[in-house]
Amino acid sequence: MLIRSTAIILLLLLFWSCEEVVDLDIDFDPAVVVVSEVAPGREVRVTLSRARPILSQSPTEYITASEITVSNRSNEQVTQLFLHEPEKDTLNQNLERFPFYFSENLEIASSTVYDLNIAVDGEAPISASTIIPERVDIQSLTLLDFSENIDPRDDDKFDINFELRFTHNDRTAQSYHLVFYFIYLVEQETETDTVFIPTVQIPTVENIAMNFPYTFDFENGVLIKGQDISEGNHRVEGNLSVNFNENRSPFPPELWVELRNTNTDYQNYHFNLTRQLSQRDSILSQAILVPSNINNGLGVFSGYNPDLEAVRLTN
Amino acid sequence: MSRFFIFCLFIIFSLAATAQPVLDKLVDFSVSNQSFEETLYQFSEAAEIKLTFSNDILPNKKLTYSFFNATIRQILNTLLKGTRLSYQIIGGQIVIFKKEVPKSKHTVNGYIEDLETGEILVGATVMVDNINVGTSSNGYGFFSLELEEGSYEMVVSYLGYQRYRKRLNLLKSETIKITMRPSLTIEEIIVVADNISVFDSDDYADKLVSAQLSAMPTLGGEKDLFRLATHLPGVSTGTDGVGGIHVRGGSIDQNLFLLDDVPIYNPTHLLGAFSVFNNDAIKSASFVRGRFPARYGGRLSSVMDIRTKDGNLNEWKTTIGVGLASIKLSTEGPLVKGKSSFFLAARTTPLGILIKRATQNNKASRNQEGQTDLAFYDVNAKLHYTFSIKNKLYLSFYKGNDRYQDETAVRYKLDFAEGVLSNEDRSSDDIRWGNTAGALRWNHLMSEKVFLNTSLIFSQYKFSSSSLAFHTDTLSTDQSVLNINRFLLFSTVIKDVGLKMDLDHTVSKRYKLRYGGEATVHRFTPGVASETGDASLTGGNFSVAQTFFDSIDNPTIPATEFALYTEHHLNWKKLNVQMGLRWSAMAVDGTFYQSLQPRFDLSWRPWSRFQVHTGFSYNQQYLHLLSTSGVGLPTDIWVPSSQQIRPQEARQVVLGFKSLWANNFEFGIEGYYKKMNHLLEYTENASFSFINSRNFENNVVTGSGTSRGIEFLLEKKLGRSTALLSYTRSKTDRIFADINNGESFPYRFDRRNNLKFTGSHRLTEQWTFVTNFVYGSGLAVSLPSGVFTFANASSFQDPIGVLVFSERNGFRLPANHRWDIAFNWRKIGENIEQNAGIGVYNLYNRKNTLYYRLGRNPDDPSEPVFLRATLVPILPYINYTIKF
Repeated sequence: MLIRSTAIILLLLLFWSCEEVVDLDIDFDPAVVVVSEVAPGREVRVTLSRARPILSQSPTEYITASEITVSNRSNEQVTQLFLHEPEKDTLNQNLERFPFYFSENLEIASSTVYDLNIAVDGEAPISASTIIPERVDIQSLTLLDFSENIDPRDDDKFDINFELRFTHNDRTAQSYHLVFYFIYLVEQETETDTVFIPTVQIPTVENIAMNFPYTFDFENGVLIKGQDISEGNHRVEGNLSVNFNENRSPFPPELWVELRNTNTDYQNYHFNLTRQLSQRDSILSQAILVPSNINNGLGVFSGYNPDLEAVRLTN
Repeated sequence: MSRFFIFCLFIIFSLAATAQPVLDKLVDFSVSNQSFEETLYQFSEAAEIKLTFSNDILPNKKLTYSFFNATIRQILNTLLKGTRLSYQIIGGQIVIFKKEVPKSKHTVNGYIEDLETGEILVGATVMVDNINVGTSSNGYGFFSLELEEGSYEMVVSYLGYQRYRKRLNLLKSETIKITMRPSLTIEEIIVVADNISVFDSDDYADKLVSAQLSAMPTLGGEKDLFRLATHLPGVSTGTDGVGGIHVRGGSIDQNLFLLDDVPIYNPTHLLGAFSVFNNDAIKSASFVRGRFPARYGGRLSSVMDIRTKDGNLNEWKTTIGVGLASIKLSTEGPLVKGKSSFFLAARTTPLGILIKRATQNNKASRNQEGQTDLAFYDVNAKLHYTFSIKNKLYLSFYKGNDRYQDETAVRYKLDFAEGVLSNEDRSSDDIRWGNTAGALRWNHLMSEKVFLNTSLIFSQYKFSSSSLAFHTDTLSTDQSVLNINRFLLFSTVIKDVGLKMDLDHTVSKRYKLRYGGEATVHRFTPGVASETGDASLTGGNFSVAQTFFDSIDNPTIPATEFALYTEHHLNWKKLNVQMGLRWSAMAVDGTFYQSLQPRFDLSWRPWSRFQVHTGFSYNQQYLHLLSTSGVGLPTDIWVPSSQQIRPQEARQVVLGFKSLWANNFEFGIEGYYKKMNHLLEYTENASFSFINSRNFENNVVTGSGTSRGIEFLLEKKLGRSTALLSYTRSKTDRIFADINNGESFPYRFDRRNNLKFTGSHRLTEQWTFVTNFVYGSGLAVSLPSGVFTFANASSFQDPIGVLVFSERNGFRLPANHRWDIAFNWRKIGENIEQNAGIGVYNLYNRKNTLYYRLGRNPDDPSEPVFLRATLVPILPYINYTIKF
């Protein structure tokens, strides 16, 4: 409500003011952008692209000619990554993906430092390092309610109320990322048969109640800044909404909750990025600089350690 | 040199050696009922000594004594006992002379008042011509001077008033009332510093004189203290006043606005376009920005001390003013003639009518109904009663409010094969914010040298926002009706109740003492939000309904702030020294902060028209303004220091000089260096979903700031033409460990160069031409230089664009400049005074940049562009005021 009131008041300024297009001469460096978030049990993937001038209308230029290695600082094992060409995403048919570098052979371990080294023609050597935090186990994930939304205008809207508990008493690094997945099977008839295609939907977070600071992130999850409350016993109660057609999915859907224990690089990057996105249109707010831990580049090389828990959603 | 010294010693010892035997000579002497003269003659003969005296100095009385074998010293001491006579041996004879008796000292004190209205005058200069001693009336119009017995010429001067002269034959302490006659012509300059030769003058402050405001060309013709303050060197603001006042690199929450001793937390109407202080209600205002006396505290950068009018003690007066920006009415008069008066002023704006009409048309063009209303009002009221010259009582009240209201209704129908769906959406937003202030003040003259002010104060700032939304769908086939209603409410309040005591003690003509204390109980209710609603679906044979309620109720945080202070004002020939010490403390949330804040100010006048001054001040501030924008929006939240957030602090040193020539021109230079610590900023990764006074510590970081600058001021004070020219060269930085990668960055309102000119020329007795020119180099802003794609191959999330900023506030807006002119007309009749003004704000239609933002080209929405916003174009105005 406070944010809404602020927005309304700022609109008053817009009402009074007069805007016109202006040419500004701003220096720009087309730096290489690295995006990689690594975690145990997950394939290591690195996306390389190039930043472009702020008013550029050209599409993102992905870099596909480079040498990338990730090395484990504990055992000094160096792994080379290979290019994966764009293809249709298997879970979301309409989503055009992008090229990235990957390795199936590299197993990410907890409490280990990884170094990323990239060589791109014509660029200074690009590097970054990050540490993988330990895993925080989910103690329980309980479904409190799964029901059709009261709003009769939208027949397909469902509410999910859940409770999540986890215990973590690390006083040095408590930052988490909760990511939600709504997974269901959609009935699809082919020429010969009826098949069920698994579909993933990212639920909208409507409300979260917990006893420590948080913010909704740009991925429709929740970023949490931990505090030593109740001796590390964390309890999260949330309300999500999804679009779901019961008639096309005869099997009960599932809610998957991923609790990521994140490192500082990850948390700083996501918090700043989320805030930049939320305040980008506010004319008087201060600029939010998204930090980067990439030497000679932009972006992020960060780590997290996930624990995944699912609950079947029944009315 | 050494020979001369030895010779002097020899002479002194020789005289002492010869004097001793004469006075120790033993004699017998008797006298019976003889006059003093005759007695001395007889004693001279009896002792065989030569006595020299003048008959004029001898007391008229008869003496009878008998001395046997007594020394001359014993006899003389006995004879002269109880008289004002003494004796000394000079050249072998005893000389009897009258002792020099120190003159007795008396105090002259009293109030300085306007002859016509009885209003007390704050900061009037009182000079005693023949001995070059002076003082000034304090914030309550009281002055006190200690003088030796004798005759003096007392001269009192005050801006806009004829000089007052009074012959004083001071034989005992006196309490007098000085009444000054207003000057019909405004010849003086708008902002003046005090006469530099006056001891204990308020030299540390700039006087913003209300009467002079009428001359300035201003936005919409509305005379405003803030506009006047921004003409002072070292004061910076955003384009056309948006962004509040920033003094010597300080942020907006570092300014203390006192209205009759009551702090005002949000001092602006219409997002900074006008201040909440109605010019018609203001008697005086002073502005401190560097040399803080110990009596002021609680803010780091400036104090604007405003006194409202007490009301006319002699006759009823009413003033009506009409302008583009405001409609004003004030009335005042005596309740008991000469003893008690009242003052009442009210102001509102006609802008709302224009906005309402414009928004009605705008919404209609989008097939909507409704309008937007924007308005403000404020009311000043005061009662005053003089019990005696020793006791005065004042009750003052202020209430002001801004209101934004928007109502929108949209109706449409959708035709289906099965029927018609009628839809109606109605929404209403109502946002209000404002201050309420009250003070009960008692002025008491404890003795001829000690003046006491006691104030009981109340202050409240409240912001509230409510939003209503109604949605109705009606389906024609089954006549089913869907209703969804939603009500959102948010409010934030800060409330103060306090007691304040100030004592002025005139110890001697060279030493004045001020001391006092205050205690304020703050109550912060930083954010109460609730959401209620209901939804229902009713049809031919069914009915479903559900209600919901959600609220965030942040508990009120009490905090108590204390302060004690002492100021010592010393004058020694050409040197004025003010030494002060302020102790302040705050108890909040189980934490107790306290500090000792030294204040020092020294001015030296080696020549009568030249003064050098230097000063040091240390301030602490226990309150913080949580602001997402930094420009002073009404949604900003005041919070106290906490266990994690320490009070803000600032140390400032100043050094400067002033010179006066031809009795008309004053030139001054002042340099300053200010270091601020524990400043608050939101972290770049702050969570805004849940910020309130309980958890804000997790979303803010503290850092430090420095500001340094040099300020030039040139004034022509008197004559048909007057002028004030100021220039400031300054630099202000901030450094926060968690912002801008820990590197120093420019403060957002860092204007490196600031030039301001205001002048007036009296064309005829009735017409005056006035003009302003301001130039300020561009403010520091952050602009994105590039964009990149956050394409996370490990996520389901679509790639998103991320803006690249090279650094915080690394880009400069274009320079801001503007020229305003006005012609003022004034006619004073027997019972009616009329004032009119016609002027132009921003004469050459300079498009000063309010902000840049990244947007879309209106002609080609697919093209990203930078958009520049400008606020006020050339804007003529006219206003008229009648007083009767």
